[in-house]
Amino acid sequence: MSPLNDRADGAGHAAIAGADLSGTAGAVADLDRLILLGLSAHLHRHSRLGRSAAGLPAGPGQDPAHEADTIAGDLGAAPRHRWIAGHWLGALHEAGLVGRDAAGRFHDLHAPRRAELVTARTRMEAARLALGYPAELAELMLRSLRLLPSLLSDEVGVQALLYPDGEPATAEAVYRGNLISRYLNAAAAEVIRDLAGRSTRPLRILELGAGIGATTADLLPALAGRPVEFYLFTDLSPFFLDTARRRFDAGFLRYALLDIAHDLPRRPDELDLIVAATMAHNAPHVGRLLGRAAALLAPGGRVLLIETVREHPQSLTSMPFALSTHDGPPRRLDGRAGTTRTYLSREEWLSALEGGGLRVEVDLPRPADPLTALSQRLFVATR
Amino acid sequence: MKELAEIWSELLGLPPGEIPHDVGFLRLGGDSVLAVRMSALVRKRLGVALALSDVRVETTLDDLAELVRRHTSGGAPATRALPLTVTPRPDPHAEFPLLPLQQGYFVGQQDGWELSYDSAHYYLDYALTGVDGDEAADALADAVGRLATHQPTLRARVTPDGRQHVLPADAPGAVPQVRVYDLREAGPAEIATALRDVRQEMSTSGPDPTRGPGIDVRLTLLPGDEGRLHLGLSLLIFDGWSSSVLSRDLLAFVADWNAALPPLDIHFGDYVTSLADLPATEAWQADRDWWWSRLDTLPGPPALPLAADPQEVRPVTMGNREHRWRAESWAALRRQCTDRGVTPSTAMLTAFGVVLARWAGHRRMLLNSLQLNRLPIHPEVQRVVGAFAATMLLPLDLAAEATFAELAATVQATSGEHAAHNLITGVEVGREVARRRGSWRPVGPVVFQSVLGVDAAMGGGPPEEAGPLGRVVASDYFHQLRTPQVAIEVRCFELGPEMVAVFSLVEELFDTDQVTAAFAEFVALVDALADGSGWDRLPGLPEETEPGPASGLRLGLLPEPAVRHREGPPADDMEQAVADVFEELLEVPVLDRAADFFGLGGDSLLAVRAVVRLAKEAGVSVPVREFLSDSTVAGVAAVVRSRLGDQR
Repeated sequence: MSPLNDRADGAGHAAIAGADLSGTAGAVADLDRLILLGLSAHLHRHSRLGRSAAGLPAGPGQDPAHEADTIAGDLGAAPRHRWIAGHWLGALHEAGLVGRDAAGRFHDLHAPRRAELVTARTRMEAARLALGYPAELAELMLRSLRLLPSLLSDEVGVQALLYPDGEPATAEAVYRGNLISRYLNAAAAEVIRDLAGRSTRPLRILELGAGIGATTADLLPALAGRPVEFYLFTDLSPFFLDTARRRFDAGFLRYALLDIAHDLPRRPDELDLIVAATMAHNAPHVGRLLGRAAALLAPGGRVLLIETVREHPQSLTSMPFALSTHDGPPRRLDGRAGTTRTYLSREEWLSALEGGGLRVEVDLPRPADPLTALSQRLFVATR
Repeated sequence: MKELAEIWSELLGLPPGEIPHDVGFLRLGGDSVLAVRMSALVRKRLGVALALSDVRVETTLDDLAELVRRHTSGGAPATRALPLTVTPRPDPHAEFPLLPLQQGYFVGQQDGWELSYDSAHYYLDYALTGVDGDEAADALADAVGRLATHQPTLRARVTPDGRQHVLPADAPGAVPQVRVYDLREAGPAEIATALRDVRQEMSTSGPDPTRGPGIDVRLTLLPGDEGRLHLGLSLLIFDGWSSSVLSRDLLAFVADWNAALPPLDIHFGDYVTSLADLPATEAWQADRDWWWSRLDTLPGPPALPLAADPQEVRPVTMGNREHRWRAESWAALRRQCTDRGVTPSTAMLTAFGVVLARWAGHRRMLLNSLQLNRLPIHPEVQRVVGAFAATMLLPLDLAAEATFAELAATVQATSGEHAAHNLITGVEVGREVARRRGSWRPVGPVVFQSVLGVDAAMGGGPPEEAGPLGRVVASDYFHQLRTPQVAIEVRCFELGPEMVAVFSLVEELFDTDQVTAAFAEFVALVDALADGSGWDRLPGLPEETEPGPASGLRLGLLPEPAVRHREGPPADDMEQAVADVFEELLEVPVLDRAADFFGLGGDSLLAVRAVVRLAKEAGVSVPVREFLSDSTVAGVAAVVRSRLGDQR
């Protein structure tokens, strides 16, 4: 990999110096385990998988294996959320907690014992500490399990999870301040510094789906004292633009509503940097998004992506609800089509970037780094 | 409504007066994130926990007001404006003082009073069916752990000098341990023995917060998916209302591994600490003046004939007589009471008074009533577990020629009037009475306690479904109470749709037949009230208002040994040492060996501290009871001297 890759990795690790990374993979597994067991417990209690797993005899004409959609009905899922039951059962099957027959029906759901659940809850608390997440993350996970009936029936929106009491602390907990976010944002800041250092003209920067500005907050200091023509902070929702306006204070910041499906600018060769932190996967066809983004870049311009490359069970009780469209699962037209996959794998991202005519310069964390267990990565590719 | 409009005003940036009551939150500029914040503010400011699905962007201010109304149950106590606020203390583990009744129980546990027990506690066990024997123990242990976080009082301790504090949740011993008896494979004989043994143990020795947790939780697993839950609660730490809150909270945690209860922003320590400002308020001073002006004319307790002198008796447990009224009778009684404009509690109290008057032979008497006494100085006070309860001395003056209905109306008025001056509690009044009379016999040894209507105030009875603990069979229960300084008390409570009244008494003090007769009369009287026939009758009452000359032992008329010491300066080093301890604790000069600790301004709690001090100084432990029986400098010195002599 490039020297830039090394420098960015160095900056990332400097930001988390002193952290003990030896237990990272185990901690990630503990966060996942809590949600998996919590989901098993929920399905056990609220769906017919509980009855068949309890060893009760199947009634006349009743098959002890069930289709995901039947389970969705048992759970009281609103039509647009029905797909989530299958998504969950797939994850539970992968974790060995439910059986699946040749016809794709599910059976023999694991019934978590109280002691198991208590242990999982305790280990989750230790894990979130080890990974640098504040208490709000633990509360988010437990609350999401409690609210499953209301989330499934659409009585309560996912904002109630991410903004309990209307405060941003929970959303911040997920995207900032924890080990992996600190590493990635510091590495990204180093890339920005490098770009600003070699640039011969004031920078033109576009951030897509900037949200609460978790990454923005770490990139802006890297631009201090550098010539920047504009930093265009964009998102789908005016709520985030307002928050950012009140929070950030740099003369070059501009704000605009931007929907990547319709509003990407069309004039090519005009941008030096496009930033997309944990949002690019929302595009129905990632390859096409990256291709259009690449076309907007001036020669030597860069795309900077922070992305999740594996859906961890720990987000199963929150992410899917945020992804449901008004009539069902998100529409995917790329390699994810036909599945309920949210994310691309690392290989798929590298391939999509190269397919867009870009050369990958940064791909972090390194393969042997314990931080890979968190499945969030920084990709930087140049035109 | 005003507070709700203010909340909306803050969220929407609109002047409160300009917010229309029938327009949805979204249309006024709100959004779903702000709607979640609205819920939080309603909880913080009004103490009302709305469900997340209750508050939507379409909700109007009128809708919200209706929701809040529905969530607020009818039991809101009468509000008197008290200029006190409760705020969380900076150090939740710092020591804080005991409330007066807690002090009474604490001193009682030091063998300080006649009719004391080494632990003042309440024991209860009840049946469970549909128990998942493999899961129940784990679920219960986890629930107790989570409850100990949610309700810090489970981690409370009392110090030897009579102050209290809460242990941090991770301190050793902080979380009470659950004991489990697995009798699922046992035969009937073994089960019967085991149950008897547990009841015996938990009835006679209760949890002692001066040495460990104030709660003892045990579970017996029985064959056939049955079980029993055993709870021992120290009265020093938990009052009656708390035991209901605790049951509810505990079963909620047992039922669901991920249950969350609306968090409590304040705890018992915060409440007690804020009461420190109470004596400076006009309201408190007015209540004190009101009580002090009445003390010299208070009647004595009912002069019930006694089989033994309370000072000679060392009771181990109290005896019980119990009666249950079926749902229809209880409903009938409630209707009759409503028609007559009296509360069911008042009716029961009046019936008790009538029976006591006949038994004691006079119509004017002093009763002691246990009150919930949670001052409404914070919206969350009703949900906090702690020892808020207080006693209230209640003089009854039953008219000779009045119908029961008339008597009840008078009792209701008297009771209401006394309860309105609740900033001074019965323990404080009792101390002043004792000080004035120079006597340490209990001032209110006959107690009335009623929690009728509490369930309605809490918004329904305790949950019946408890996850792996199955279903609670509330009607299959056993309980035992040990309250110090009580000769006889009546407790009235509801059990599901039925009503129960219990006489608890120190058996050694009374003639069994008299107790049985009194209880039967009481039950008959209440039956007559339920069927309507008792209200307009003249209950046969004795002619005398006051007790006549004592014949034999009678409650409240017991002889007090008069103690007189020669006045003068302390006669020797021992007396000087005692005088020094008195001076230090009372912060007044102590120059006379005949000076009495209480006359100098001490109270029973300071007496306990004096005893602790003397133990350090003189190396000998003076029983509190002996300190109280002669609390002059000379008297205490004499006791110390004789104990030292015994040691050699």
